[in-house]
Amino acid sequence: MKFRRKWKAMKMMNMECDQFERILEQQDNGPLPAPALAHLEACETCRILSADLGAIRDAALELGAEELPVPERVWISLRQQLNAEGILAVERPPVPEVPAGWWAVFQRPALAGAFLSLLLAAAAMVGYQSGSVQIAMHSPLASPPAGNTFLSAEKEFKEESLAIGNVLIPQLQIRDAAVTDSLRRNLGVVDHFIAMCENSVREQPDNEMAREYLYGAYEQKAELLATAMNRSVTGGLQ
Amino acid sequence: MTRTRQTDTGEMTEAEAIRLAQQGDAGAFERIYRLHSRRVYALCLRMVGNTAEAEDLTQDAFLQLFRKIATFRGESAFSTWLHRLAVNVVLMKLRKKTLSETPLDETNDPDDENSGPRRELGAPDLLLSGSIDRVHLQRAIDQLPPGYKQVFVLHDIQGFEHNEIAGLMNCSIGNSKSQLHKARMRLRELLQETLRSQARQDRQAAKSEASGSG
Amino acid sequence: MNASCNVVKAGALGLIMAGLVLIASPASASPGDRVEKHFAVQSKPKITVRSSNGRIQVKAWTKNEVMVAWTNRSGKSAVDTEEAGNRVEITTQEAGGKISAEDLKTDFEITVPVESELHVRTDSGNVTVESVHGDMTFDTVGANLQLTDVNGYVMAKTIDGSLVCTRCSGKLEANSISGNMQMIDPSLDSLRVQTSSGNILFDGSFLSRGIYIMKNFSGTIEVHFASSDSFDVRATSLKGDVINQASFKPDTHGSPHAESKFGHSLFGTMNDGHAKVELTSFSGTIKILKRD
Repeated sequence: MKFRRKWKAMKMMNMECDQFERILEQQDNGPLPAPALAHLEACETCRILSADLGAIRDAALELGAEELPVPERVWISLRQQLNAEGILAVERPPVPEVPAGWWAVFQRPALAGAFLSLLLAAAAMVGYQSGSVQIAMHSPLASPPAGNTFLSAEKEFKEESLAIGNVLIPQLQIRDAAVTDSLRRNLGVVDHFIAMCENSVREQPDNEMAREYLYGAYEQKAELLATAMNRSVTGGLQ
Repeated sequence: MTRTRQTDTGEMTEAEAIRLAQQGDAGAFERIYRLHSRRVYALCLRMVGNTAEAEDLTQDAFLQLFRKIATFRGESAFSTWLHRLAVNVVLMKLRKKTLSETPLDETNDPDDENSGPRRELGAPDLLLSGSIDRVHLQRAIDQLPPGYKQVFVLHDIQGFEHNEIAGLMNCSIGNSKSQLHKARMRLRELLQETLRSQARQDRQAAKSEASGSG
Repeated sequence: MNASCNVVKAGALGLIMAGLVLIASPASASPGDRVEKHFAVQSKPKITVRSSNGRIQVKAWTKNEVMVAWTNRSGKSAVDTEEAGNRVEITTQEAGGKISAEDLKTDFEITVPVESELHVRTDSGNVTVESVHGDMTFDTVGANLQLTDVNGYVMAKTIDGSLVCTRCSGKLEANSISGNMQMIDPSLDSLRVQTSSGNILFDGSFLSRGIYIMKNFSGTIEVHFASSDSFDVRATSLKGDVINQASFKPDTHGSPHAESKFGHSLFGTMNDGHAKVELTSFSGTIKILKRD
């Protein structure tokens, strides 16, 4: 009898403890409702639980305020990366034959990928608009080409970018003829530069400056094509 | 020797450093880094539990910060902005790892097989108040399942609210609260085990000391 | 009876439709009319202008107000203005019907608070900005940009529009394919300009700790200096010449530069080398000339 009464009391207490814990979970650090407070007063187990969770919270808060020393190599490496990306207004370390600058596409595969994506988008645009123009595109520079495949990747890239430019601009419907003329004319300018750079690279394969100019010219071409697309989609306006 | 455009940081305030950093001033970048790197590193370390990874994540967080600093317009506190950015960097990294592909409501914790809260009837509860050692707490946190750990670190250590955590981790507020509670309960068990284990060791040490002297 | 009712109904419907059209369309004016609008703003508003053709003139005043005035000669384009918070947006729209690029030509006069953020996108015509302080971006195809007494972070992109900056300060980044670029009497602490076939002229002082990077493919890069200027210079032309009137001493700040076996290079320091100047051309000529 005594045991039954004790078991019943424990069962009731546990049910209430379960409920209390659910309330703790939902209230988080907020004030407890009156029934929960009443249970807390009556139940030592839940009092200990509540105190323990509070202690864990407080200890965690102290941990949060803690600051840990950072190895200096993190800053050194970060600074190098900031320099490499040109985020810092710094002088590039003097490296003969490789003046750093905004043409470092070759050293930045992510940028090359984005640039190529731009050309791919232009090709897709042409395909969408005309339906009949098909430019087979693939991504020779999706990942940085290994040294011995570089020249063949360049060749493919050149052929495709020439194709895109020459097909794209006539296809676009740009209201302002002066704008179309300007785009066409400047596309010719950039293609001419690309050709000159390619000659230089062919004649002097170890001329890094020429190579950088070449990729800079590709980048300019992508920008120009993006501008052309932009003006066409919006009809010259937005 | 690299020559940079660098302002003498000296006693540069954070606001001044942000303004100059937006112009690419190297000294300003460094000032911002020195002001905040320790907290960011601590956050990363707590979330990944590994110093090498924490260093990489710290670097990534600041790299992202400095790439985007020109867009900071002062609508919120800079430290809040940086904090969120760092958390996003860490979470993205964790998501890429296999373990973190585990959905938030699934854990490796065998205790989770029961839907309701676990209760040991009759087992004595140890009071933790005043006994939580920082090192033990950190070790216990490292033993938490990933989902629990992330929510606990973000809420109790870093001070994010549940609605913010829900946004960062793409879960509901209820889910965040539930995970936090489970994390705390699990930590409690781990810390109690640690206390018991320590008490046992102390008793054994006292015994051998007594028998040695006797 | 039925027929006359129908006529009346049709007439009423027509009137209603006309009214709806008038309400729905943005403000359009008769050809040649000048339209003016005022917007009250708080400090450092953001003004965005999107046009295709026509003159855009931006000036500054001390009021916390943006004034926009425009004239469309053909009457076939409309200007949509929108204010949201501290942001004012001005966009040229087609008013409907068959129109040409010339019909869209709209001339703007915009007056903004001195401290304003400005974004302009247009295709042709001229853009002039005077005495505005704040971040600015310009995106044009053939429109020429003329910035005078501006201060801030300026980013400009053109296809063949030219850029002339007079007494500009702050930071300037500009990119063009065949547009020329001139920086006259600047007080810039950071300059990054590149044009492919255009010419670049820098006639002014180099600020201490300033960085000045000028690049082109062909064309001329011309820098005028004074004897009191203090800068390090690195000038390289792959296929063109480097003409120098300055008496440089060897660069005192970096490690010794090795002469490139490709093209013509010049490295040196003027006085204490407080600023950094980098001039690069593929086939153009680089001139470092003494200012009279």
